[in-house]
Amino acid sequence: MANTYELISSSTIGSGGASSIVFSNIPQTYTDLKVIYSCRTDNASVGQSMGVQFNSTTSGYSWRVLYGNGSSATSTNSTSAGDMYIGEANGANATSNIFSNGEFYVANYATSNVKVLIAEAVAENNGTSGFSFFATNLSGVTAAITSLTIRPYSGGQTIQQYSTFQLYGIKNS
Amino acid sequence: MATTYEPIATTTLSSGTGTVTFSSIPNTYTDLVLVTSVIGTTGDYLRVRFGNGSIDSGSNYSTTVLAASNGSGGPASYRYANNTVAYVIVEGLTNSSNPSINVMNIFNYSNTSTYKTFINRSAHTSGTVTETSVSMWRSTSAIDTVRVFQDTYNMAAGSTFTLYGIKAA
Repeated sequence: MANTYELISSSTIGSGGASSIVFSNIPQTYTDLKVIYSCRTDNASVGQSMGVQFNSTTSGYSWRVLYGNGSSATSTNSTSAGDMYIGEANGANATSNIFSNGEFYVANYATSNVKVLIAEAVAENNGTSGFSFFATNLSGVTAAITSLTIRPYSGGQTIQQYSTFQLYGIKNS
Repeated sequence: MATTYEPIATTTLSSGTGTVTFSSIPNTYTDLVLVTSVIGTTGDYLRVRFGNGSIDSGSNYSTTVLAASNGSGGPASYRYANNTVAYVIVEGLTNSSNPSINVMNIFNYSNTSTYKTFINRSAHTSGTVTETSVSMWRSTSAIDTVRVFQDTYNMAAGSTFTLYGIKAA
């Protein structure tokens, strides 16, 4: 029987880091896509917002994020963004060796529907702070998704060595 | 090698439909995952019911929601207790042309000693509403039937519904 949940591609950041991760030439043979990642950046802060683009599209995204820090819950949004929002990674000022974790899901990525992305992420700083994020994203992309770009939100920072990203394809039959 | 994550059934609507039901769900998995992409009617809500042999429409469901929308501003939490439905999308399907996505994890669905809990994550097509919720069906019966529906209107053609089974061993 064909595999339902299959690894398409995996990427581990090497020495020197990377400005982005690009999964390209995504096969069109699955129903949904899922990315699971562990990430840290060189942003001079405890955290770093992370973004995703479909098919190298750099505009027309809308998102709303709901997040909590253990004391309060906050929501914010953007209606015309260059990236979709998937949560925060640990930044350079977080305790060493701590990487955030997250995942995002795109249903029916190979159809001509407008693409919607659900994201969840957690970032912890060795007991001194912690955040959990849940985000909804809408893209104006109606074409089938053939590439995913994962990067620090709006670009500019570097994803650190040992960060990992796995792209899975899920088949509904 | 045994298959861990397996599609049980999938449905794509070819015309407006009031309910989508998965029945005769095998009890050979550990958990279920229901992924829906629903093109709804503006302002309507998405619901789910469970059953064993027949759908339970009694006041045996509860839902706790954490949500945020552009309309309401800050985050909000709602609780619905002793309901006849579990709430999948609470803030309303805001677009009748594009799908809202929902991923639901149903844990230990065939366990006959425990009530059934499930976690839901929803993304609206507007990109302006985000919802996550936890719900319970207060029954120790194994789930062999799942029904998805809107409160008032049909779900539109092009909506998709897929049920997956996950095995722990």
